[in-house]
This record gives sequence, structure tokens and C-alpha cells, in this order.
Amino acid sequence: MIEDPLEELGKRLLSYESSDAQFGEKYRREISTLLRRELNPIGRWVQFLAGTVFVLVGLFGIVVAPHMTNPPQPVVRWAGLVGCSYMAVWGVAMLICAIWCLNPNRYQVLWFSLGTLSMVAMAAVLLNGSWQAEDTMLREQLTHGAFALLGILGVSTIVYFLEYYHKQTQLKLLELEYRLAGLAAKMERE
Amino acid sequence: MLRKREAVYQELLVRRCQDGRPDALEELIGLWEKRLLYYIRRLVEHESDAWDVLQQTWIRVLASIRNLREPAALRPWLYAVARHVAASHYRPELLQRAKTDAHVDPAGVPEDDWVPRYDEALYIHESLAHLSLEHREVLVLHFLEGMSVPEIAAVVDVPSGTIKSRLYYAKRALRAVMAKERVS
Repeated sequence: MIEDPLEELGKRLLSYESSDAQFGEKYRREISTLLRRELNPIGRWVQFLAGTVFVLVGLFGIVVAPHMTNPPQPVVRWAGLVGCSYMAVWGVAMLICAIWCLNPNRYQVLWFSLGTLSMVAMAAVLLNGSWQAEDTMLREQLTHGAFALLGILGVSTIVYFLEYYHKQTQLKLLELEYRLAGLAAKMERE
Repeated sequence: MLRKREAVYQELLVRRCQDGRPDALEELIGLWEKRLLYYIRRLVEHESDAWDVLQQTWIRVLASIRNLREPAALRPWLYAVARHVAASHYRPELLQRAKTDAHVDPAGVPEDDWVPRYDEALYIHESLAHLSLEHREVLVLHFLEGMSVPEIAAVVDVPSGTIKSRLYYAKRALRAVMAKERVS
């Protein structure tokens, strides 16, 4: 018995469609490349250019920061070094994504961990340096900077994990609902 | 109350695609490519162009599926993307016509509840080629997908009244062509 005449009609219409196998093969090759490559050409170029800029600026900073004499405090040199190293590492990661066509959104956990590490390192340097700094004003500025970094880190950690678990829970609930709907359909048939 | 299994499956698939899972994207393509190709082939002239449009459609879909807020709207959204790609590459008149179409009051359009028998599918398939582009398009969406008037309106981006009227005249035109084909 036909339950929905339009549904059956649609199926039959599809069955009458013929196509050239050559076109189909070419299309399938392109689609499999598309699926393997997680980045489109524009996204790839953006990643590549941004990654190159980050690496160059980061490397330049790594070379220059240890020799900075103005301001003379070592803490400034250390903070500069940590910041520039992080920039260079991030740039390398962007270049890897561009070269292997990987979608950076899929590696959010890695980016987040890198960011967290660098922020902690930066805050540690600033807090440690602030006690050694002779200039009171600089000491205060560094301490405020360090706490601001830790504050940003705390808020972004909470937001990140809330979003992550919200998304995962939503998917789990949907999977459960899908199974229940399948059971209900089965019971109805029986 | 439980939702229909298909609706849940569709939402799950969209959410997994939005999460960037390659297996879900592959599943989405496998599920829709045949039907989208059928629709696109009724819009563009050559088969090679249709395959090209289908490929471009997937590129756009994969790039923008994260922006799809309502998973229930997946079906009209996919067809709208395909239509837009076809129009921008091969059929600019599809977009121009949408702008110039006059607004039609849905209440003034007569009802036509004709649902063809499924064993008439071959006649319909062959007769579609003899219809105008705008009639062919609404009929494919209606017969192939069982889309309602508001859903077709969302794909074609014109008011529901216009679609209702277009569907009415398209069904009449199709019946006329089918009758002629049967006689010959």
C-alpha cells in the first residue's frame, strides 16, 4: 500500500533520471577532495597570509626582545619574549592548517590550550617581575596587567567550557531523541 | 510529544555538520545529491553545467552551514542555495524574475488539489521538459519533495500567493502536455 502518493511519485521521478557516468565520476572526485580539504581556497589563503605575518613578527620579536634596553627592566624583555614566542607558535599552527587544508575551528581545544599556556606564562612573568621592579609605577602597571590577563583567561575558560558542554549535551540529547523516535516508530508498526 | 524520526535525524545531521564532522558532511551530501541534481537539471540546459552547479552548491553549503540557525529549514535552504548558484552562473533570469513578479493575493487563486498517480511518473518526467522554466521549477519542488506552497516560496524567494498561482497554472500546463503526449 502506498502511504504518501507524492513521496512515491518523487522516488519514481528520481529513478527515471539518467546521467553521464563520466560527469558523475568527475564530480565524485571533486567532492572527495572537497571533503578531505576542510578549508576553501579563500580560507586557505587567509590562513597562509596571517600565519606568515604572525611567524615573521613573532621571530622578529624573539630576536629583538632580549636586547631591548628601553625600558631597562628584565621583566619587559621576558614578557615581550613570551608574547612573541606565542605569536610565532600560533603562526606556525596557521601555516600547518593552510598547507594541509585543515579547518582551524576543529582544533579549538589546541588553540585554547596554547592561548592559556601563554597567558599563564605572561602573567607569571609580569607578577614575578613586578616584585623586582624598582620603579613603583611600573610595578603597579605590571601587576594590574598580570591580573587583567588572568581575569581574561578565567572568563574565556568559563565561556569556552560552557559552550563546549552545551554543544555536546545538545548532540547527546538529539541522539537520544532519535533513538526514542525510532523505538516509537517501531512500536507503532507492531 | 515525540517528534518524527526524520525531523530529529535532520536536526542531528545539521548539528553534526555544524560541528565540522567530516562523516556528517559526507552523509549530508549522499542524502541530498541525487534530488538536488534532479532539480538543477530542470533549471540548466546542459548536464555538465548541472554537475558543475551541484559541486558549487556543496562548496557554498559546506562553507555556510554553520549559519543555518533552524535545522528544520535545511531542505528549502539547500534548494535555495542550489537555485542561487544555478541562477548566478547559468540562469540570471531566475533572479530577475523574482524581483519583477507581481504580488498575487492567495485568496484569489483557485485551488487545484490534483495529485498525479505514481504510475504517471514517467509521463511527468518527460513532460516537464515541455513546460516553461518557472512552471517546471515549482512542479519539481512540489512533486519531488512534496514541498508545500510556503516552502516553495522560501526556495524561490517570492510571495506564497505568487507560488500558489504558479503551481495552479503549472499543473494545468502539465496536464495539457501529458494529454497531448498520451494522444500522440
